Amino acid sequence: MAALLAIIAAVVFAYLVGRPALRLQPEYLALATFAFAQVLQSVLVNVRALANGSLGLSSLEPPEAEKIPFASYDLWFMVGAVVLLAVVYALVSRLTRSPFGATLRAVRDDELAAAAVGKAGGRFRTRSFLVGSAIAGVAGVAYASYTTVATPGEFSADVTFTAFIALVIGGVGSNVGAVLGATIFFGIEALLKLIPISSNTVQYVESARLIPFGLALVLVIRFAPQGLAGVRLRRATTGRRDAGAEAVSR
Amino acid sequence: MNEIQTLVFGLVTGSYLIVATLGFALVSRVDKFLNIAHAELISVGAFTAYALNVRAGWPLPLAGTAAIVVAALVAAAVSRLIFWPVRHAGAVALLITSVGATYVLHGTVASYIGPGVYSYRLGAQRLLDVGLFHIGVYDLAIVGLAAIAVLGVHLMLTRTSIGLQWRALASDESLASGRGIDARGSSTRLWLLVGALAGLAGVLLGLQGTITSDISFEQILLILSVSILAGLGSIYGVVVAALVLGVAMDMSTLVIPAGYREAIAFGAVLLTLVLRPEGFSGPKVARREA
Repeated sequence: MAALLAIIAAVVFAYLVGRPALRLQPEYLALATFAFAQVLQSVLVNVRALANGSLGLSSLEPPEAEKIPFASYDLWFMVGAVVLLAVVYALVSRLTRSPFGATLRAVRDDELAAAAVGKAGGRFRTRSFLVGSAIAGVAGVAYASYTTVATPGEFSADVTFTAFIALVIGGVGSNVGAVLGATIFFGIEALLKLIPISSNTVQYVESARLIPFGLALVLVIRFAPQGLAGVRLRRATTGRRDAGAEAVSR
Repeated sequence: MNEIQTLVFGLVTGSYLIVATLGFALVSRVDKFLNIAHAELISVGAFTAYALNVRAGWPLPLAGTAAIVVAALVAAAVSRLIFWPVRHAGAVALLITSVGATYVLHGTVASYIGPGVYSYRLGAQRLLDVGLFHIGVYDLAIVGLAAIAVLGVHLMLTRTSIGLQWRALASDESLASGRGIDARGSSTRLWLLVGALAGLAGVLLGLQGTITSDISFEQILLILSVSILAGLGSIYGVVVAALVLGVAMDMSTLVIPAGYREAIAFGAVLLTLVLRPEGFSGPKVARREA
């Protein structure tokens, strides 16, 4: 029940932000959503009544905690997470293969032509934005259920950048790419954590971990802008020269 | 009396924001993309000055100058190695690349300096009494240096041949190259200037208070705010927007809790994007055609 409300809240916020912001060019849209994220975080931290300031909310109940023995809870949660992923993926695939998905691709490839057949880009952009936000809401619920706390600091632009990088590496505009990219990203991150380091250099190495991700991003954009499993570069018919931007920007 | 003093603080903040955003605006105007890594260049400047001043014992003016040079060189290197090869890939690809560059630079600076809160080795600030308000000598230096930076950039853009080249490249790159302008050389020199401005901003940041390796994130958001307000690609609008925002941020503390200070900037961004996306003086590029 709470989960459902959470998802609805995410969509409502997305709508409030999106309504004015989606009219803008991509860079401005990105900036607008960043600004919104910062304002939201600021409000959450400063208005203690909402979510207990920077401490956040705690002692959220992990689902079904009473029924599962404590020691194996992690494992069960992982299974649950994978199941959740499968369900969300199946739904998104369904959506992608539906007429709605086809329209989204049409708008991406050639917005002018799509508009000429009656599919107004703005409306579809809004809908895909809302769907994406709903999925994000689901992720938020899952994450908070696992960690049992919800602090504003956890959900900074860092998460956005992470998703961004994972998507670019895996492939923009492709569902497989999203899953692939995220798996690779967090796989590498987990592997990096395994490298043994002495305790007094730990904090220095912490930050150094960012470097390979940055390099990966730069290299992927340079040599394989469509990512590992992204859409093939398509040339738009309205005469735009930059095929690379075409695939990456939508 | 309190209002005037806060106004003065706001002007100091605004002066810093001018220097911080000028370099960003230059790149956005000439190379036509939003360089998220700009704040990392500021961080490079701030921490180079810190390392030289505190860890190596140099006097601050010398450390600061060296920091400016280092930041300029890093900026030129980053532009040649990372941005130049993908310069035709489109604004979004360049934005993403700049995020990658941000991570690389941030990781390097943070792992070298280490976590913690740092400040420059400076004596306590002497306060000058100017009748209606006080101003510290360091704050005065910030304002002064910002003014010099603005004047310098203005003169470079309007009176020098390199400035002319930059304006030509901003206007139409293929035409400019066709007329014999060395696009790559000009670009490198632009980035030297951009880095120098960022380095200066870093030193000014350190002058204002303590710094941590995470300041860059906060700064890029402020820089983006100033840029939106000014109109992306507008150099002179930056001066107005930075001062307005600086004053607005500091004077807002008179009315609402200080924790919201940065939120004012972001709120201003949202308002601008909704009401007048082109900002104070930018061209009308922000709205989609369709």
